[in-house]
Formats: sequence, structure tokens, C-alpha cells
Amino acid sequence: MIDDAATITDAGAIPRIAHDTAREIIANALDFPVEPGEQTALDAHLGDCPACRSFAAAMRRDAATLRDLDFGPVPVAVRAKVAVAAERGPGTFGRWVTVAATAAVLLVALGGAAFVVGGGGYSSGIGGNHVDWQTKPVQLSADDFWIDTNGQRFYGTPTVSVHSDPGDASYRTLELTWQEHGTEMRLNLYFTGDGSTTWINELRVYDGTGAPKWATVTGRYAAVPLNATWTGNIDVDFPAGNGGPAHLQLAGATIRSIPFDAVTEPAGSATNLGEHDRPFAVGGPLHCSGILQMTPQNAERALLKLGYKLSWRLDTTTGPNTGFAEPMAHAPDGVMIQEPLPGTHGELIVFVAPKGDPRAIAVPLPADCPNGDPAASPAMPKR
Amino acid sequence: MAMTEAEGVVGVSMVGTGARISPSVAPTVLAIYDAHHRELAAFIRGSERDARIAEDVLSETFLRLTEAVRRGRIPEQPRAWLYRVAANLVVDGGRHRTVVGRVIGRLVDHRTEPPPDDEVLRDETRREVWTALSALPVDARTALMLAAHGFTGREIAAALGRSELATRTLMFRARSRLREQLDGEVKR
Repeated sequence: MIDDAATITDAGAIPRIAHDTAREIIANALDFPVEPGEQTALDAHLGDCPACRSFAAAMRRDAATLRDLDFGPVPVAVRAKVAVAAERGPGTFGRWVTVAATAAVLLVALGGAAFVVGGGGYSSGIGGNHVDWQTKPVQLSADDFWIDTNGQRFYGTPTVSVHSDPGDASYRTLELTWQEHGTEMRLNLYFTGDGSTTWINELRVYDGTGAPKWATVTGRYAAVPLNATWTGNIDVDFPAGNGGPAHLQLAGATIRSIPFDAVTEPAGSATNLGEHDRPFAVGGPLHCSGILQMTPQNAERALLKLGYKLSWRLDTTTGPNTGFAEPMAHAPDGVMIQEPLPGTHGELIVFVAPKGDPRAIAVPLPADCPNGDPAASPAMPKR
Repeated sequence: MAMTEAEGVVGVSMVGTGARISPSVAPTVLAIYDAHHRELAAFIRGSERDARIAEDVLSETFLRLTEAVRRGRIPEQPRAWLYRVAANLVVDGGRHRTVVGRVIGRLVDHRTEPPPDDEVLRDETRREVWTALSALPVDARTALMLAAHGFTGREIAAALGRSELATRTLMFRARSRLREQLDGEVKR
């Protein structure tokens, strides 16, 4: 046993300290700053005391071992519990045992760490109504989506038609349409931006009535640097004065919006069309070319060979006088339906309707062309 | 504009009316979880002898974080916040179990509970340290594990709600007793 004598001061300047005092300083030095006087006295003590030197080494060794204690990976169920709780809305927390049980069920059902159901449409399980809407200019996913309006909640089920107007750096859209509760629903997000930032400056939803009208709110939402992805919650009230009341919830959302011009350049030098150029109109270089009577894929090859920059629009009818035009860089399947028009980048925009669409009627060769259709107008039908 | 609409926009737009964008709870919480859960789990497991309770404490800590984030109170220093919450849960839980144990009698003697399995604590020295640690009072274990995870004495004092002086005493006794356990000077 060591001597527990009290601190002794000898004739020298350095006070002598007892073993217990030395050990207390040694232990506390691991966690607290040591006073200069204490350090001096401790150094002097350690110089003469192998037992306390050994104690100091053991203290350091124990601390290092404690630092290195590792109990292995945390069970994935814990993360699932946390995720489930984080996904749930305020006031919906259960006791952990409940959360753990649901998480466990999800883990079993989904065979691992993933617990959010993909795709559109409502899933009644924990994690909310996950949605994932992708177009070339806009990608939006959310862990929970719904719209409350006209006394009903809309989840975007069973299927949502997803479209975008690619616009330009200062204008793009994400446009969603679906049928639910016996009525047509729509959600439109309008993106704008400047040289460094893009954001949503307007949101519109249908009001859920049999004769739907828009509810609108404007502002600056989901602002993010260009090409970056925004994450957060969009929780918007559409006031009665603006066509509401309605409420939009996009929880745990990630939004990415980038300009998409959907233009394909020809291999060689390109023809830049002016605003008033109409190559397929009467007198135009392509008026009697027969290109519009080809399949879209063959037309694409022919037009690129002739040096035209091309962009395609897949026109889909959604109702009387309503529809969407999905921008595409390459020819989609379907039928070319009208005279192609010049775009803002000097490209030729070619319109195609999918087979089966009411507008999918092939354009006839004009009557004034050799072998032209006598019933066809010399001028191409205009958009 | 490519989209054609028969319907017009009803009403006049009002900038920002009724709109609220808040930080997303799940991504925030899960980002903090992914950054800190492993070390926090090790801290809790070192402080709490019962593995099942340790897992509950870990879950409860992140539940409280979730509630805080949901209320818009994201901790400025998430790591310190998590340790403080977990430390208090361990210490409070330990005290509660001690009281319950006195009342209903010791049904399970945690000191005889086997340490984590061999797959995890392969190293004999670490096994001995964990066993010795398990013999200490809960506040001593928690203080030592906070220190092992890089917190200063002052931070440990703040986390445990003790004065610095009291924490000095606690830490010294904890370290000394741990060493005694390892030296076999005290029979368990």
C-alpha cells in the first residue's frame, strides 16, 4: 500500500503532495485543466513515485480503452423507428413499442432498410403517400403528398399524368393530372429563376369540384441554387379569395428543376430558323417533301440530314381543348399531326400524338404537291 | 406555352398568402442520425448495462430530436445535444430502476449479466473494461463514457446537471474505481 500522508512542504519551492492528491490530479487531468502549481507538484511527485507513475499510465490506458469500446453496428430497426417517427405528423407519435412494431412489420414486408413505398398513389402504410414525379426539366419526389379541397383529400391516385413545359431558364412547369373521387384533379408548379437561383413562383391546384377551377398561390418557394436539389416541406394554403380554400402538402420533398431545351443538333452545320420561317408551308422547302407522312423516326433522320435542329412534342389530349405537350429531344412513337413550327432556339418543333389519341390523325400530303391528296389543303394545318 | 387550357385562373394571386415552408423533419433527423448514431450507441451501450434498454434509450433520444426538429428547434450542436439527452435518459432510467429494484427486489442482477457477445468484444482487455465499467454506478459509467467520447469535464458537468466540483469528484472516483475493478482489488 502507498503512503497516504498529507501534503508536505519541504525547504524547497516545490510543494510535496501525498499519493492520494497526486492520483486525484492525475485522474482529473484527463477531464479538466490542471493548474500550473498542481502540475509542478505532480511532476515532482511522479519523479519520485513509481506507483503513481504506474497509476497515471493505467489511467491513460483505461481512458484509451474506453474510447475504443465498440459494440458493433446499430440494428437497422432503430433507424427504421427513427424514420417512422420522423415521417409521422405532429400528434401521431405512438409509444416506441408501437412505432417499433410498425417499423418491424415494414422491415419484414420490405425485406430490409427501405420502408417508403415508391411510385405514385396512396399507400396507407407508415411513411405517407410517397410520390415520385419525373420529367426532363423537373424531378419532384415527396414522402407524403395530399391536397385537401372541396371537403375531400386527394392523394394523386391511382395514376398521375406527369408533364412539363421545358420553357427556358426563367420558366418551366411541372403539370400533374389525375382522376380521383370522380373528378379531375390537377396540380401545377411553375418554376422561375435568375442566373444563379431557381424557385417555384406559383402553385395551382384544381378545387376538386365537378366543374373544376384553379386555386392559385404565388410567392417564392423551394429556392435553390441552379442545378442543386431542394429538400423540405411544402405546406401551402390556397385562400378562398384565390379559388380555394385548398391545402397542399408535400412533406419530405426533394425538388430539382433544370432548364431542358430538348433540342437535337444535326451532325453538320445547322439551319437556324427564324421566327417566321415555315419550311412546310406552301412555298417552303419541305412543303412537298413527304417527310410528315413518314414515321416520326424516319422524319427525324431526314430532317437532321437536311441540317435542321429538332425538338419534339408529344401532344396528349386530356379533354376537350385540353392537353399537354411533352418535350422530347428525339422522335417519340405516334403520328405527326400538324405543321412543325420554329422554336426559340432556331429549331424545328415537330408535333406528334400518341397512337389512340383523338388527335392522332396523319397529316396528308398537300393537294398541290405531286401525288398529293386531292382532299388535303395546300396549306398545312396550323397549330 | 405547350399546355393548353380551357379553364382560366380564378382569383387574383396573393404573394405568400397562407404558404408555409418549413425544414423537412425526416431528412434533417435522419441526417443527424446517420452522422452520430454509431458513436452515440456506443456511448449509451457503455453507460447502460442492459442492451435492450440501451437500444430504447438510443431510440428515445432520436425521438426527442424528432420532436425538437418538428417544433423548429433544431439543436445548434446536434452531437452535444444528443449526448446530453442520452446521458440524462441513462442516468434517470438507472435511478428509476434502482428505486424499483429496492422495492420489488432484484429480479435480475445486471452485474452478473454477460457482457456483449464475443463477436462484438473480441478483445479481452476491452471485455474486462466493459465488465469493470458495468460494476460502477450509472452516473459514474455515464460520466466516464462521456469523457471517452471527447467531452471535457466542464461539458460533462453541464450534461449531467452537476457542478464542476461535484463532477471532479465523480470523475476521480469513477476512474479510480474502474481501475480498482480492473486490478481486482475489489471483489465483485
